[in-house]
Amino acid sequence: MRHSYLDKYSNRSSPVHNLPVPGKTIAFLGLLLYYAFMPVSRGILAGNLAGLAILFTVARIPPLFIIKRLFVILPFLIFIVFFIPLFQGQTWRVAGETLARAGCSVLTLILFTSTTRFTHLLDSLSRLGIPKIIIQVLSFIYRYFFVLTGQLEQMKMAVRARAVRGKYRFVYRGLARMLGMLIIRSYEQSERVYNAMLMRGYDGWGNDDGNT
Amino acid sequence: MHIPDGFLDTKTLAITNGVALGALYLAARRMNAAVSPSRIPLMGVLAAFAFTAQLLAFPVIGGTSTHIAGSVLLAVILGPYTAMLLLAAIVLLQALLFQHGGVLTFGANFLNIGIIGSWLGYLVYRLKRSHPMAGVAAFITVLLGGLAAALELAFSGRVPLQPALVGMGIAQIITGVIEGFVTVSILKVISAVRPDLLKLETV
Amino acid sequence: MAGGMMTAILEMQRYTYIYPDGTPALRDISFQVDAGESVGIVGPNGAGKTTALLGACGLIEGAGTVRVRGEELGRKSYQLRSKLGFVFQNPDDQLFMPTVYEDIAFGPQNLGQSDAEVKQSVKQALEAVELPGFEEKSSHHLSSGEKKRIAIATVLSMDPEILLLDEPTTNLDPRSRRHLIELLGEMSIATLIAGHDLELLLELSDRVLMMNNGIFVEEGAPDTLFADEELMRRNHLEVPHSLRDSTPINSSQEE
Repeated sequence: MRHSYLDKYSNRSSPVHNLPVPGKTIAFLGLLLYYAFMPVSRGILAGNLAGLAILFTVARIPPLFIIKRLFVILPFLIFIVFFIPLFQGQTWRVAGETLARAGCSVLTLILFTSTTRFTHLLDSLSRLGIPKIIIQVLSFIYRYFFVLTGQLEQMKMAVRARAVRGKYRFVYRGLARMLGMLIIRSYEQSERVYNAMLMRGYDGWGNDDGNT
Repeated sequence: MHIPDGFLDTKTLAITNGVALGALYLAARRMNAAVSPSRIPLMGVLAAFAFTAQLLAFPVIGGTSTHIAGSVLLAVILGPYTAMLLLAAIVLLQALLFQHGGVLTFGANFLNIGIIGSWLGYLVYRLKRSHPMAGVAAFITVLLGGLAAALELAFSGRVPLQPALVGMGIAQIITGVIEGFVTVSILKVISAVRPDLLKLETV
Repeated sequence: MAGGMMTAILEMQRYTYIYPDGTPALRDISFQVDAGESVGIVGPNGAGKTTALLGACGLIEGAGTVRVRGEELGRKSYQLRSKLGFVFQNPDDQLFMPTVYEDIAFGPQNLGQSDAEVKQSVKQALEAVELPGFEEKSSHHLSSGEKKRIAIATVLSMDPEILLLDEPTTNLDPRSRRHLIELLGEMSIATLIAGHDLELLLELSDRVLMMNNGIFVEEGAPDTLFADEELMRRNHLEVPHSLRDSTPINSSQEE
């Protein structure tokens, strides 16, 4: 579970990266809405994809990266695309349209997040009216995801060093136990983090800063 | 089951997002009154835990694997409103960073995982407040969450209703059993090592 | 240590802390750190070193007095606490923001500084730890040595009177450790370092407090204390290598 891909390209510089974030966010949301309503035709689809391709190139995002990210929705797409036409009442058209809308949306999402720094992302969300507490939680998730993943990898290695590939029951028990230890470590770490926050003047809602 | 953008039609998007925002508004209101600042780091790190745990692949049959949500676990430890808030953050971040689920479909996904997962799960858990009950709650919420997803897709005209419900139901039974088992296991570990984690104030 | 109460940056008097389960962690300890002094606390695991630091920072509820520059430190003394720069053993415990800038800015912002002042505080703190320009980096991209220095920067930005460090060289490779020792050596601010790294304390501390079982058993200059084999052994410690050659154990003649 390599996690470096989370940030891999978002801290770089390019005309797309450097677009002012509020405008970028509105454009992004606008596009998503557009995809939901757009009439799906070959021409429009080609236009969308061409536009996205240009933006990706300007932002210097490698195609392999994009393809790897696309893999995420692939199972879902395949499921729907083949599932729908197999049953009466549905047609290839519905499947094709769904594919078109979903594909454009995902690509735009990938473009947006791979050209925007996470802190700026949080800023945008904050400006969109998302409550401060959720922004704080998002901040923590982002930061501690890497810490926890590292700990999980260490645990997995330790288990792998001792265990032989066993039956499902044992695998599940092992994984569950690891998660149990991980949640406890998380709890204990959160206590220390709170202490660290106290040492730096945190005393509650009012005094804590949510903006940069 | 995270529904990507493009898979739900306008009316479904409107309804699900409306319900989601309403629920979140209620949760935020409830928490503003009750939550002390010392909870923030706890909430944040536990949310990070759930986010990370959701990426873990549990092998099923053949080469397939499934994932756990931890919604009931969070609700048991922190309370239903807090858990809902955390899951909202998690679902949002999964959409943005991993494209697990879409941005416009946030409402639907949050409804399935956060509201059904935590809030409803907690109601079930409250019937007995025991580890096994938590496991049962986890199973039920996974099943219902999946069925809800199927309903949303069918309502949007993307899939025929009955086959979707049946297919999703079957798939979610397996996932539900795993989620139930893992939830109970984790609670057992916590009870043995740091039982105070289970005695926190729940909101 | 008599006198000097006016110059004492940190003072703990008759401090006792008992764990929730009843075991005593700190038993009636007293000590002080004066301006510019570097004090070390050594002792075996479980002696109470970390607990002593936590008590000094007012993070635990013990009995007794803690004074910072003469003023008593209570649970709610937020401003006063910012004068104490606690550096945790694990940097991940105190690097909790997405970027280095936000982490270092957290303290100054809570102190009510303006945006311009915050920016300046961050810049100065980064320069003090010799990592200028690191503002936009994310903590998970840093090496352990860099993380440790950024962790120090997060408390330096609040202009503390004393740095308290808990096992600062844990997980540091030799080069980072050397960097850290040099950095700490150059600082004129008072420091209180708790840990097992005896060589570090030999280099940096003016005075060392030896702790065992929640009390201070001995106090003195590090090279005197650490060379006392009997004392070290009694307290489950070993004489550090650099002192071993100069300790005539059984020899009756000199080299």
